[in-house]
Amino acid sequence: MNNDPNKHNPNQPCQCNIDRALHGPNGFVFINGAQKQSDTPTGKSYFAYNIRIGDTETKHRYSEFESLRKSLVRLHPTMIVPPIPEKHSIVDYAALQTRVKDDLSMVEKRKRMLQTFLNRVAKHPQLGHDHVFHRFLENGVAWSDVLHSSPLSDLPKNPLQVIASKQPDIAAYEAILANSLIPTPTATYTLKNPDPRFEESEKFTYRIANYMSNNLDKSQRKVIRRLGELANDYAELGAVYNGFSLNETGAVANAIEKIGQAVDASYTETGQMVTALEGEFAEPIQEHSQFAHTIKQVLRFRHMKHAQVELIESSLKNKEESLQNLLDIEREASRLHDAMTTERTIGSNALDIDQINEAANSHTSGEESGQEESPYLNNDHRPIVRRRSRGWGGPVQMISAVGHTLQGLIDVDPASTRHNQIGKTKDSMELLQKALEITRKDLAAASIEVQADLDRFQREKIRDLRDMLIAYAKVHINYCQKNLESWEEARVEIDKIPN
Amino acid sequence: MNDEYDSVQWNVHATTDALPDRNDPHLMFSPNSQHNYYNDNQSIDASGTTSQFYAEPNNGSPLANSPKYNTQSTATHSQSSTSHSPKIESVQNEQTEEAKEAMPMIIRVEDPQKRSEGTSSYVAYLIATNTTVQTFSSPQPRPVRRRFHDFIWLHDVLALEFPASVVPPLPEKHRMKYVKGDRFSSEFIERRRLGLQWFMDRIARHPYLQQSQSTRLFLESADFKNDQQAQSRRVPRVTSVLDTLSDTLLNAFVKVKKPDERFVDMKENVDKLHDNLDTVEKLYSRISKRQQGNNFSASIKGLSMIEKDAAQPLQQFAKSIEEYSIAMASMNNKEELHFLNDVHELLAYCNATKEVLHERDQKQVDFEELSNYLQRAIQERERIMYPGRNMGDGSGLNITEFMADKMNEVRGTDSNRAREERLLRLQAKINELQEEVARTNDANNYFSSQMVREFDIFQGAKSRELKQGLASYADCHIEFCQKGISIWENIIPVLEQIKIDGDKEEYQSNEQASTSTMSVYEEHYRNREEDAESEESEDQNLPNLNYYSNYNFVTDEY
Repeated sequence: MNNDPNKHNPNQPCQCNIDRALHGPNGFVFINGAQKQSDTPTGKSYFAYNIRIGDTETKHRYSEFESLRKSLVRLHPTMIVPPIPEKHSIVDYAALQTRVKDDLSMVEKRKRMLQTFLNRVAKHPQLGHDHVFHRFLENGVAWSDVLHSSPLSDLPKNPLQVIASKQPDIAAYEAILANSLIPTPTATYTLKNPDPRFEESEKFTYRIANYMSNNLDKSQRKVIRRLGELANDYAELGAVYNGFSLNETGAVANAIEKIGQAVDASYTETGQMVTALEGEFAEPIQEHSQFAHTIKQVLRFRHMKHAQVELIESSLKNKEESLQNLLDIEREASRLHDAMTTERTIGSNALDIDQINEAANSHTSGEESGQEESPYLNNDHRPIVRRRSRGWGGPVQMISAVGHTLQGLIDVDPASTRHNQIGKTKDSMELLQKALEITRKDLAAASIEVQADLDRFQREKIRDLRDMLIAYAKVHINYCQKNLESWEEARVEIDKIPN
Repeated sequence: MNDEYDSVQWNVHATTDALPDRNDPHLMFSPNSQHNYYNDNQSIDASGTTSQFYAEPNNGSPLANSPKYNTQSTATHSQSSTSHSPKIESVQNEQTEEAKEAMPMIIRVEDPQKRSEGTSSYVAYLIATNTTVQTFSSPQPRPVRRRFHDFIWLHDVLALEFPASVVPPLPEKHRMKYVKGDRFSSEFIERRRLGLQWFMDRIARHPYLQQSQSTRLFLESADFKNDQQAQSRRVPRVTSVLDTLSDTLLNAFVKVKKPDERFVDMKENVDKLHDNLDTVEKLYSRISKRQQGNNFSASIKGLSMIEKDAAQPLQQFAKSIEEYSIAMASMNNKEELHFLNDVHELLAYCNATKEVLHERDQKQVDFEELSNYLQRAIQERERIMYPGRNMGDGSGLNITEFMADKMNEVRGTDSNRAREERLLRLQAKINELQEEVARTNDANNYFSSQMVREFDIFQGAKSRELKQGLASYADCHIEFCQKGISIWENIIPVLEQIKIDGDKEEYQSNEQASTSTMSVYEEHYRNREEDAESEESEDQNLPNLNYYSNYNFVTDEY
């Protein structure tokens, strides 16, 4: 599919205006507004977000962002596609009695996080050059049309049947893929020879994912909630001081009033700190907690690719074994044949040969029927295996089985039947060999891509982390400075109280 | 002379000398009776006694010569004081001197030391006084050691000696601490020391309390135990006299009939201050609970265990969070010690002031009730002397008496003799009441005038103490903010140090992605290897950012 010259090839930069705008000097994507709009047929209202890149402006609603992200995941299964803000949870709906969709702070949060999403995609070395993404940013494009046209409409349903790698030499084997030669392993398939490096990555990713969502995000939310409560207390205290100052006179009243103002400032500053931390600290942590889950999926994909390779390998090995058996019998048969031709005098031996032949035949047919299943039997995944056998091994097996039965019944010429079998096994081995070659290459390429994107992502994460922590520190510095000013003012006023 | 008496009699509050409005419906004395009363007074006053009714109520005229408050010169006072005991002198001081100024006095309560006395132990505080008060032997400090018991003694003895003054409250005893056994914990001792320092500061600023003989003994006496006992023997007599003045309990629930706006305002003022301070105190304890640290720093630390690439900066960041919450906690501690304690002590002072205000009201009630009683007695006498004359008043109370008179007349039994007797009895009662009225009037006037001074002193103390408390409150915040700024400013360079060694690399990838994807990987891979090499030579402590890339990826492994 990727090598169809009429279709867009992600290997080649599309050179569209959006691509140029994105990778130009002013390549930042802005979401500069959100409007409430209503869907005429259903009467439901939704928020449309104004997106601007360079001079191009367009509007999309949340669900379209969602489908963009899904599309990108399908197109680039080896890439860590940035997350979009989470949907409202049922808890949110329950907690906030008012309609959550109308909640402005929620819209603001989505605006920020969707903008981050677009810019993360834009900066991504591969995703940023994806034309589907460019179409999303283009003005006057009906998004549903993009979703129902190439390349998205060409993608197979099963993501594992996609050739992940974009290397042209692998794409040449498209024909084999079209025959559905490549098996789909089960989700719980355990690799026989797991790649230790990716095993490590997986472990690391799971740890991060768990830590992010279970510990860091929770404690961070707690910090922000505490600050919010503190802000309210400060507001109350400020009001008390202001009332207090009204009951006093002269310098004492002034000083208390200033103290009240300082506490009021603490209230305002705490509130602003909460907002700043939400945007610059809490949201990135949420994003990275989502990122960790995306990485899980990407690693899962590679894991499945690896499983495919192993499945083909084991089938091939079985074929090889059965071929070896056939060849052994063939050799034995020809040896016997030679012996029979040289020792024609022994007539009684003829029966023996037939017996041997029969034994060999039944043995072979047993091998034949078992060969497809044996690798999977080891793994106790019979249902899937059956489907798979039917899928590609089925016809071959059926023919050979029928052939054997016929041969066994008629036994016209055991020798030629054997020759037939040898030839067929060799053919299917050749096919498997090819499939193995493709999947291996694909796995290798996918591994490189995953590895590269993980590296890139790790850098991005560390950078984000650094920026987050610096932002956290700066927010606090700002808070302290503002408070310092107001308290120093209050201090001056206090000094004016006569002794 | 009459004018002068008028002013005294009508001015319940002693310091304002405005003539009363005679048409005031609340007037308690009729003009007639007023004259009678004071004419009587005059004759008794001729005996020329002093105004020492507080100290020696049965000696000389019980009628206090109230105008003397305003007229008696300091000279005559000092003359008389020489013949009196120190106790009397102090009482007289406070009665006779207008708006006495506080002398400079600095008392320091320091160096608490644990002492043992037999089986029990106690904490003794070193008290050093600098003052120019003349009764002191030296303006230079002559430090003495006093324990908490001694402070209690001083407080009680001052309260007896100066019933009309606001004696500063002592820090609470914190009985629970005794049970828990941390009575000698440094924190508890420091708190108490601060509380005692407040107590002494307030006494030092008080023009009457600071010059009391009791205070001097407390601050100076080398043989405190004996002096203390001697002083205690002298002082209580004053109160016993005060107690006999009138039965305050009797009038405990009677409200002041003619409230004086000044004291109403004072009470309102103190009440408001009390409420405000109380709200601040309550709100603050909630806030300081809220500011207590949480496990966020532990979370970051945990992250540093996972994100090895930035482990060290993350750990330092976690440390900053900890430092920040420690700074916050220390701000809270200081605030509690210096500001909330101040608020608390001020609250106690408010309560003490309110008590004295109440006491003053009580004196006025006493006076008003007795005056009322006297007035009724005088009216009765008038009625008996001139029967039928006051009928026009139609006072319900007199109807029964009128009926009794009529009955007597009807019976005609020795009416003249009975009348004579009754008049005599009434006259005796009136005389007695007049004495009492005069005494309560003086007491009331004394309390009122003293209250005005006390309130000024209280206001001064309040603004001074608020200043002190608010200043340390602001200082705590300023210190915390400065600390916070430096903590966070220090961490920023550490965070900026976090090395993102892929920056250049990624730029290249971006550039080349448009030409050939494969070459990007090669490039990428090569860079990674280079990084791996260069990293080995670098400082091990630097964050390692190549977690994922530390493997040499060999494509043709399969």
